[in-house]
Amino acid sequence: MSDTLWGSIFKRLGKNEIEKFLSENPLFEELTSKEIKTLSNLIHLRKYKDGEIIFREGEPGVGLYIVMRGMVRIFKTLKEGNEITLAEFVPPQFFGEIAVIEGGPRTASAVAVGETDLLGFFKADLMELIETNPRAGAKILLRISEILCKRLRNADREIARLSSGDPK
Amino acid sequence: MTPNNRISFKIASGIFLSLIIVGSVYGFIKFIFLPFIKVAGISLIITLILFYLFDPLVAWLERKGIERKTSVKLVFLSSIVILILIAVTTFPKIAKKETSFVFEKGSIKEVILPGIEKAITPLEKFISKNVVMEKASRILEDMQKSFFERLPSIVNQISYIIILVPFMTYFLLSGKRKLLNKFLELVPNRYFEIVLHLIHRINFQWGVYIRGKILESLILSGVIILFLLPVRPPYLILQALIAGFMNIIPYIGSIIGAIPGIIIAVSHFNAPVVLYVIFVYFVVAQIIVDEIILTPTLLARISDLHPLTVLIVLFIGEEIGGIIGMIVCIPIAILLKIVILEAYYFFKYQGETPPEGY
Repeated sequence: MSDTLWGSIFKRLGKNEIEKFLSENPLFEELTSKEIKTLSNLIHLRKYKDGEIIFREGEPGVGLYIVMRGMVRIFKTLKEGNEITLAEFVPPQFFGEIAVIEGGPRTASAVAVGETDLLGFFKADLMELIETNPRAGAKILLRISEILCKRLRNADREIARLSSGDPK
Repeated sequence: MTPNNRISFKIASGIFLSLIIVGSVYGFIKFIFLPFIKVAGISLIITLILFYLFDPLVAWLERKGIERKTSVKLVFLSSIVILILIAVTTFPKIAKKETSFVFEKGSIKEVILPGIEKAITPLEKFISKNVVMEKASRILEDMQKSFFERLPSIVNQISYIIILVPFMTYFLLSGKRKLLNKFLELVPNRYFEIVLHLIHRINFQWGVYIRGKILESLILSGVIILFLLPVRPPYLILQALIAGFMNIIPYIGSIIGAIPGIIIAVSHFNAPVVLYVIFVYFVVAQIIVDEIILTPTLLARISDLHPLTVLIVLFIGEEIGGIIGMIVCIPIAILLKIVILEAYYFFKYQGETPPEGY
């Protein structure tokens, strides 16, 4: 009986921790505490060991991951078999946001560096949120769009810089 | 007792004990496990149908700001109130009118046989009327006998289903997210994303299929009632509902569903009216309403199966579970198609850049 009681108290604390973490994340900063609570029921907490593959290039991508603890390395495997690291993510950064919108195949692979906790938020979860709480869904969608636009703008700037031959 | 006798006694006791064990296991499987599996299976099918019918209503209430658990309770209470109202007001009148043939004539045989007799009279030159009538009479008698023999067990099974289904539906609706999360916790990290993706695809496809098919059946029943109303055939609602719901079975369902209506028409009306009834069943309901209007709009988003696959699946479904097997086999085939295709692409393109358009 006491085990169940303590178990549920700690479980509750774990849930509160997730809610607090989500409310501080830039992706969900516009959400109210009630919306954060709804979101925390949709989100998936996954624990990875050091070197464990999160997803591989080519697999169907269906959502984004937020780093809660540890680190994630994004890499691409070249034809010769060598790996090149594209990016590294630490808390509270997130990756894979294109998959939430587009849902196409992953363009690179992701691996956990050290013991890593990730919060997965998937396209189907977003669709469910839009269906049951359209206001919260729209806020998240708008935030993801803003982030994608910012990255597109940076990419445009980079292309312009490279095509003009400017080394800076 | 000599040593030889002792060995024979041991062998005999061994065989006796083995027979008791085999008999008990057989009895347990045949009389307890299989009926339980049957009741549980039918309850699960009805639960899933109700879940996919109620879930959009619950989501709609959630959009209005009502919590999920309260929304589920509201949907449940409203359904119970509507069911009680139908049961008290409309159902007894319709049921009495629509099933009066059994009470008036004494048996279903008495209702169907005159229709068959009238239908085969013009074909007397080609087939022996007496042989056909005798065979039809025997089949109908067997059907009626086996129905009444099995009636107590059917009533027993229905009462279990009536108790199980509301509970299962309520817990599935109110705890679907928790159930999904608990299940996903068991899935290894490596396959978590693909399993989640599969569950959502299957959930979407089943939702569209079940809601689409039920709406399609109701609309078809309505169309048949509307077009046959000027003719006023007996048991119109019953035959329209049978035709509408048999339509869930692809290809052959529409033919099986039309048979009762056509037999009734043959036994009650002259040739032009019978032709009109056939026209309503096959041209108006089947081709114009179902194939041209309903299928492209209601069922367009369903993962399509090749007609040959559908026929094979229907054959397997019929072999395993009769009419229920034929109804259930298509959603199961859709599930298998999604799982096989997704697993194929998952392993094929792992670790490499997939081609354009994948």
